[in-house]
Amino acid sequence: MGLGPILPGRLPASLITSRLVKNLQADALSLARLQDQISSGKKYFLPGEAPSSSIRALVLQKSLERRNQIQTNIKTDRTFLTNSEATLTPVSDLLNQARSALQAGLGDAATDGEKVALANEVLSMLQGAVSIANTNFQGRFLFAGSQSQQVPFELENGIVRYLGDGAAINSYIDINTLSANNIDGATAFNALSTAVSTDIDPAVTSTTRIADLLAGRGVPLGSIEITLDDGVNPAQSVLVDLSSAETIGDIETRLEHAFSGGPLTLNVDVDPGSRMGLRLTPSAGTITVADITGSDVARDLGILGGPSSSIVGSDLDPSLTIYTPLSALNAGTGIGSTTGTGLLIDNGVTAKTVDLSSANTVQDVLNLLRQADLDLVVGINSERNGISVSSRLSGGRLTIGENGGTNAAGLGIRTMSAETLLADLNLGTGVIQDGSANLQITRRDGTALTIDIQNALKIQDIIDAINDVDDVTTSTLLSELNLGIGVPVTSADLQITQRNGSALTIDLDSATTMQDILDAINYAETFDGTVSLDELNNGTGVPVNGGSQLEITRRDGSSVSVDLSGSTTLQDVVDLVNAVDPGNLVAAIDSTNHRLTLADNSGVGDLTVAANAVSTALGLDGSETSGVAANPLAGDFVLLHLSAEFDADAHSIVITDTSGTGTLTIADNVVSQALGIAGSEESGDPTVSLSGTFIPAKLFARFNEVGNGIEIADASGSGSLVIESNAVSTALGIDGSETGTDPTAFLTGRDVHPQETGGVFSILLGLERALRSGDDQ
Amino acid sequence: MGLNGALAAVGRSLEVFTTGIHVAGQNISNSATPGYIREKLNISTNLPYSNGALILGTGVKADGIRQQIDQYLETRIHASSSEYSASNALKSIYRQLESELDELGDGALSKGVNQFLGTINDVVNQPESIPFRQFAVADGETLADQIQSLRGRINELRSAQSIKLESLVEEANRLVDTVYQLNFDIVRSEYGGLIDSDAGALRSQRYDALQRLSEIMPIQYEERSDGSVDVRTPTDYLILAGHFQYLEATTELDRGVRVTYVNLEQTGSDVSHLGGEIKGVIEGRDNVLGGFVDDLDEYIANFIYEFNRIHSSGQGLKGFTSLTGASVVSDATAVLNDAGLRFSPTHGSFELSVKNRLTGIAESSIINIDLDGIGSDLTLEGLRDALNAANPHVTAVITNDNRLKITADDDYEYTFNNDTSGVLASLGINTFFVGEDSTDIAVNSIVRDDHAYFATARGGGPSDGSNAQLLAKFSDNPVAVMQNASLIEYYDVLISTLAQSSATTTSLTDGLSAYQDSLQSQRSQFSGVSLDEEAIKMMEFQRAYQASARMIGIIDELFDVLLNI
Repeated sequence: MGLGPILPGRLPASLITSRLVKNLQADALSLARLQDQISSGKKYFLPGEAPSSSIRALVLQKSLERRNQIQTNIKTDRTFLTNSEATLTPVSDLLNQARSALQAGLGDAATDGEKVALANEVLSMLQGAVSIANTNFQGRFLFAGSQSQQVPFELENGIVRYLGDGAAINSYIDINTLSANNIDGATAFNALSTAVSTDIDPAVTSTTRIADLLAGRGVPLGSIEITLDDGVNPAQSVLVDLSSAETIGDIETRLEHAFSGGPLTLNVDVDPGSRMGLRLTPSAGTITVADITGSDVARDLGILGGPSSSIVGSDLDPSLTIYTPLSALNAGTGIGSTTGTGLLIDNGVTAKTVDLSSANTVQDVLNLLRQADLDLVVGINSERNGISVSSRLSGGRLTIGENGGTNAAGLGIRTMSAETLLADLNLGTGVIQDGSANLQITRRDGTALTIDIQNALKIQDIIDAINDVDDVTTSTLLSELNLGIGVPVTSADLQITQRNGSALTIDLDSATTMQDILDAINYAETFDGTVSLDELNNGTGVPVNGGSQLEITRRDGSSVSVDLSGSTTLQDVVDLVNAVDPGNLVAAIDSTNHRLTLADNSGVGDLTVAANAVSTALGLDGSETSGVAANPLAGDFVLLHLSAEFDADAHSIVITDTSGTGTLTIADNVVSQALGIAGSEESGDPTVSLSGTFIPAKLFARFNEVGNGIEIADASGSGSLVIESNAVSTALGIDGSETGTDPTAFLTGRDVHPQETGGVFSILLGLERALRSGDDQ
Repeated sequence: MGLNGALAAVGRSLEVFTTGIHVAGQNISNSATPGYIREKLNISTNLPYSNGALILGTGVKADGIRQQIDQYLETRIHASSSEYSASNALKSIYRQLESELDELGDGALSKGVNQFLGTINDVVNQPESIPFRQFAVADGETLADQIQSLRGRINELRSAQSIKLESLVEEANRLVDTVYQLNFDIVRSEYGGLIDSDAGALRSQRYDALQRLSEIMPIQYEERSDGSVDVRTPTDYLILAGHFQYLEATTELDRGVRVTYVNLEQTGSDVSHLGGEIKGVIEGRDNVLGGFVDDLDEYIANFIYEFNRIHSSGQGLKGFTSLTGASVVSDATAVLNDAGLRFSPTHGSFELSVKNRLTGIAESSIINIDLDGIGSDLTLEGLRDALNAANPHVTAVITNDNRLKITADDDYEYTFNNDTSGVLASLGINTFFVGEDSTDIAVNSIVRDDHAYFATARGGGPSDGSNAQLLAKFSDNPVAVMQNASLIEYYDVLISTLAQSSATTTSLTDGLSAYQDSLQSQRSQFSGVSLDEEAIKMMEFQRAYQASARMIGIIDELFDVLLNI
């Protein structure tokens, strides 16, 4: 309370009194405040008394309250973790006892009766371990994950089943820090088998969520600037706000809507070529996509760029979700037909075929696997790029293979695949690759092979090493292929539908070598005077207007320059050459061999066409040196749209078609199958080839039909096919022999990559079985 | 001049000196009377007369008794009183509000929120614990009650201000009456008086009334020559030339509370915001308390929505078999973000998972909430149709009062997940809280009646507390409609702003108080009674009286001499 100054002059008693009263009141107030402060321990009672200090106090108070709660959390966590730790301590004693039993029961140190007694002892240890694993504390089964209200482990018929999950029960041990106060059974007892899972590369669809892009990192959305320019209308530049987009479809909608008013419009879709990114195509002209300052939305969406006639976005690497259609898996190639196929699953107790014919999405597959009642834990893997399958059973081994199709591989859950690392085989013991042993094969013709596998990493490397033994080249006889079965060229024609829609039927009846097949394909298109020069050489054409002329040195030594400018067809070229010296210098089209010929009866010297851009493109560069007028200079093969090559490394045919932007299809029949080229190339990109599959020769290794082992055949003779048993062949599961006389019969390997839980229960169960059966191995 | 003339002059002086002693006595008597204005006897020499060449005095005469008051100072005091009273009323309201909030005490709302979140932390630690789930739900109810109670107390505080206003209006009207009446009395008393402030006591009463009136509302007064005063507000009159008008209180409903405003009865002028205590109370009620109510409602509304957004994407210990949304749309055919919902959903989606209880197999579907403003956007009817198309084992209908109801077939149950649109929270589906603001926040009866519907999980078993983890720190999340401030930050700013405003008002009030004290000191110095001064005056008049009496004695002796000659 302020008191005003006393002015000079009168000083009435009332003024003195009132001032005294005010002073006394102020003092009393101060005393009362001090008393309150002392008794309450608080300096302030209302925030308005000292805003800054009060707000600091409030923030500190809030922080203190939260810290107190965190302290409570930590106490709770410690209680559970201490109990879990104490509960697990006896397990280590049990394992020591098991080791003693193992040592006591090894070899001849114990009689069969003693071994059975030891087995019974181990069984009781197992029961003890299960009992420990089922410990309940404060209403929670400690090792059940989030399924804490049910007994997590069941011992039944020599199998331990884990009914919990791998979930952590997290609590806050700091404001933003979580820590688990449990140890789930999968972790503590290794009660789930290693998950079978591989990246199955889901394609982008219109329903793909933005949050799932870039391996689940998502794209923080904002605005991007798009400019359409056809050079006629003023350039249309629009800032498009994508921030509320949820899916790829939403982005398509927003971008297209931004230009719906025209005059230029924009079409946005998933790139049908890669199926992994966006494609932006203006109705005319060019498109430019740019980020605004401080934003990377266009870059992250992979569509930054231009000006160009179309922008094809980069791979958006979407995560796998339960809603991903099966058709979108494996970059949009799907998982193969599910009709009559499916999965063969053996969990060590039960084997079942899981029919996937009703499945359309990943969720459907997961539910069918759950419904199969095979004690599997299924879901999306932690990388969110594949399906994950584990077994709940300790004491049984999980194998997943094909039921005649490619579904398991397509879903990335085949227990053994081409990408399986050798080091992972045989429950992680791998394959010895120190050079002490190699793959020793005695072929049916009696020859012995040693295949070095020291540098092999994966199963596919082993298969490749075996398949590389027999070379296949363009001169290889067809009869040598496919385990000597050859290619049934007389049984069917090759039916090719080109990208421009043209259908070709190629008769291969007379083909005997691989080169014959290639030639038949290369010469299949019509090569006559109507062929446009622009179509030649896979669409690169002939630069007749580029300044070069056909420079011909005739047999009489004279030189002729033929200007082909303006010519558009092969017939135009022939006509222009023939006009030089009608009847004497004669050009012709060799439709059979897809080439031009040039004859000259002017003399007996050489006939030469100088090499330049035009003559090379026409295949006419070169000389005819016989001096005989009747011998024409035969040009080189001139490629049109369709071309075939043989990839000797991959043992496969590669076919390219530049006729259009449609789909290149080769009809499925016995011939195309035997040549490994049945199928289609659907990208619409003329530069993308249709790559055929591996064409086996005589020694042939592959996965067996189920896909859980290697099988090997040899058509070199009619003797036995023998793979010497050693550390390598045994580890690969292919030791043994095929003693029949059928050269196409396979020596079938074993599954050497089953999945098994690796914890205490598996150890005890394995030990108990071994002791009971007297198996020292 | 003879003895008779001298006797007459001395006799008159006795009368004057007696009056002087009376005035001093009056002053001394009222020296402790609040608001008393000291009086002063003005005396002057009586007119002389000529007697031949001599001009003889005729003694002293009393010109009148005048109050010692500085009218300009009085005007300044009135103005400062208005300002001080307005500010003091505001300060008082701030203090009351701060007391109600008790942010530095144990009854603070922030403490209640922390307590609630602490209990959710306990659930995070042990999601399977039934008691902790029940505690969390119970603490949610306690918090909701605390919020409603706080709102109720603030409403009462606002109502109390209206009552206070009515009381002020009554008091002001009495003061108008008083001044009006005193005008008559003063005019009558001073009619034919010696000088214009003879009715000192009446004038003191009038000054007191005007002083108090100036505290209630800003006034200016002007004294007429007859001693009456005209009293004006800055925009109108209260008393004018024998006329007066009262203040009247009018009421209306504001934020659920009946509030009072003040007008002049006859001219209808609004005096609510002119100044004085009336202005302070009204601004305190409407801006301070009302503004806080708005902020509190904004905070609580977002508290409800943000908590519900997370809750609605989680799962409890069991799924729903039938559920009716807590929120009503105005029109089932209206686009959902324009359908009268308190919280508008945005473009996005949510997942519906339908579980067969017999097989344990669940099928999930994405329900797209198309609200992008391009083409046809989603209505409640559209959402109903989408739900019906999503899974054959659930049926969605719209109730007669425009709520969404979802029912599962026998042996099926359903849950929700990953709602990016907020539509579930908007429609009151799978929410923890119901209500729209601090007036009606409550725990959803579905959760209250069965804690198994407290959505602590995100797809796991009974010990899955992953949704509870999100709930436990939901108040740290940025909220778009709050300029990305978190709820904690928003509330801190709310309290901080309140504290700062309160401190500013207190500071302003203290300043005005000091100023007013200074003016009052000046007034006291000028108009207050100084006992020393009065004692001296009394002595002065006493001595003068004694001398005059002695003079009469001498004249009397002289008359005796004269008569004995």
